[in-house]
Amino acid sequence: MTSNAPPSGQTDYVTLVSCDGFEFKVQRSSAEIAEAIRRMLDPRTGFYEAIHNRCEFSDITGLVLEKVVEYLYYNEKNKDAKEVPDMEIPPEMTLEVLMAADFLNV
Amino acid sequence: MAVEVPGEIAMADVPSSPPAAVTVTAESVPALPSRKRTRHQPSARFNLTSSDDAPLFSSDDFNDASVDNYAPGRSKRQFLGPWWQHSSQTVPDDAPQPQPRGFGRNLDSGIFMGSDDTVSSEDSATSLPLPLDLRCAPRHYMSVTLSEPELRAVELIRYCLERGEERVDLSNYGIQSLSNGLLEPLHQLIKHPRHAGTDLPGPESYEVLVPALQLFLSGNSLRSIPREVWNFQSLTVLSLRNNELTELPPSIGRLHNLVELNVSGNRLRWLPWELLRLYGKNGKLRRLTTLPNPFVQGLKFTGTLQTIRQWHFPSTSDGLRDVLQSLQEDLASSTQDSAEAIQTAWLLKLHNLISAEVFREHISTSLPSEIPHLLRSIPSIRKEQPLLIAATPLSYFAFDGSPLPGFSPPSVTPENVELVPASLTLDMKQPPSHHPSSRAPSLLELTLRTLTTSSNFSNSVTLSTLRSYLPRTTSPAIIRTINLAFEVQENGGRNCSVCKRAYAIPRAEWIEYWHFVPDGAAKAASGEMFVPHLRRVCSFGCAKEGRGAEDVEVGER
Ligand SMILES: [Zn+2]
Repeated sequence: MTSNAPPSGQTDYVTLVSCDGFEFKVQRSSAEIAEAIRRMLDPRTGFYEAIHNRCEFSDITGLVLEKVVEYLYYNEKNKDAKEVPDMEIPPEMTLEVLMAADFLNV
Repeated sequence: MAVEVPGEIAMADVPSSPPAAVTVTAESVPALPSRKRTRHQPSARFNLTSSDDAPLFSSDDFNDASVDNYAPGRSKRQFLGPWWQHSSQTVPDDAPQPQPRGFGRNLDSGIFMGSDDTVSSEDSATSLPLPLDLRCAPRHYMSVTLSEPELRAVELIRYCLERGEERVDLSNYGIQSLSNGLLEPLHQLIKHPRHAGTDLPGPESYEVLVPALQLFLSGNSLRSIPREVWNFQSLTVLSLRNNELTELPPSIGRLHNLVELNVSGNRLRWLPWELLRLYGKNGKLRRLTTLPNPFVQGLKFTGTLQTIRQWHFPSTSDGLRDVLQSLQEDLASSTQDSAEAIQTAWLLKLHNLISAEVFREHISTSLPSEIPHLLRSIPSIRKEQPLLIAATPLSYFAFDGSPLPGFSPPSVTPENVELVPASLTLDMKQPPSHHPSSRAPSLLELTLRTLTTSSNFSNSVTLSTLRSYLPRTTSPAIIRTINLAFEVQENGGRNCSVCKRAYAIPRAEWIEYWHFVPDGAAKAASGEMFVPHLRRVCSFGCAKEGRGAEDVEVGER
């Protein structure tokens, strides 16, 4: 980023942070598939998230966030695919992922 | 606490042994107290130390129950529950009080920071498992307490099985609901050879013993049909007349051998699109009775049956030509967009399709020079092939199944509204989405598929247990969607009408009005002219592909 822009400039990558401190660098275009993330990163809002290109989730653990990130890339990768394979979700994580999906609108 | 099967009777033996089931059930009903599942409050934590639930648990297939996790010093905190359930109770006394957790939706945060340190990263990074009884409840347990009419139904089923009776008449039994699985024994129905006595068997004795099952459930108060019915491949006659059905599940399309179906006298507003595969030249359905039902209408009918001569289908090519001509004249002279004009346009499209159909039929079987003569008489003007006339606009749903802004899906049409307008041209409005033609399921959809269909869960997660683990902050749309996903699963699941994959949340739907009069009936009542069929798809991409496709070749999953 150039000096006149930071920290409010829009970067190609954004950082998603779990409640237990795990950080995931994700392509902005993929991350914004989740409507809630897109709104958090909307520069017009002046949210902390938008300024720093960084979203912190106080309710999502690293393990679940990792699954979410996997999904974001899965979605991006399959956007034009005719046959989309199911993404595996381990049964013991289902409820947590479900709550995260609800929260993130994805 | 005893085995956690409240109000449930072990019906494990019912399918294979109906006579025994009656005895077992009848005796068991008074013996087992019927009570609601109350144990899991939303705030309850999952405590493995409780031995109460032990009989239902099987930790064998449970990854985290490895020896490591029982190592001293690690304590049982790993099993205390998912992250959103962590409450002060689960934390050792010396730990600081945690902030109450739960999903907030205030996005103007910036204060998401500073996650409290009550949950050590070691705990959080470990997969926090579901409570065990969500995963391992025995599959064959059925939650049933049979009612008096149901017991009589079981009697009749036993009788039919013993006699090899193909006609199972449960009409007017006063049944309000039929438990899933109760009709399952009919799967084993074997036709008995007609030959009796000591004479030499005649040729009729060697006929196939595959039964042609006929099931009559008419005149009860059924709101749903047990899901096993949709798997009765040998079903040839099904009567659901005079019940309280509000929707038929798409899985009815699996009944490939159905010859006669009666759904009249219910509260149906449309038929499932999948039913179309049973009509026409690919299906065997020859008698379909749909009226009366409060079907939605795509247009406002004007005139009466007697006054509209176009209702009566011509039997000769000259007659057909006359009708087409007069319809064209009517259309030209009527006010644009008036009810008359719309009706005329629909009829015109219908007759055009019919003549195209008839013409095609004769082209393929005769020399072109013979066509005019052959067309002078049209033996069966409609070749019993369903014809797509019109469709409502596409409606899209968000990831959680709620309608996207600006769309009013036909399935949420209020009951007092009969008119759900459709147009003859199947327009295609793009969904407001980053990926308007993506077929990728939503993350919520993927989790619901896992919950309702994976082998770990099916038949074991009940809606009430699942809901008891959801935090209070769960959005109402999600709760509604979860309810629906389970309900659909109860009814045998559903498959996308385009890509055929099983799915939980539809992402688009529309109603198609089809013309189909089986048995080559000479005329139809106005309500039967254009029958609404609700079509649902799993993704925006499938909506794009399925829109306007007149092909009703719908395969199985
Ligand atoms: Zn599909």
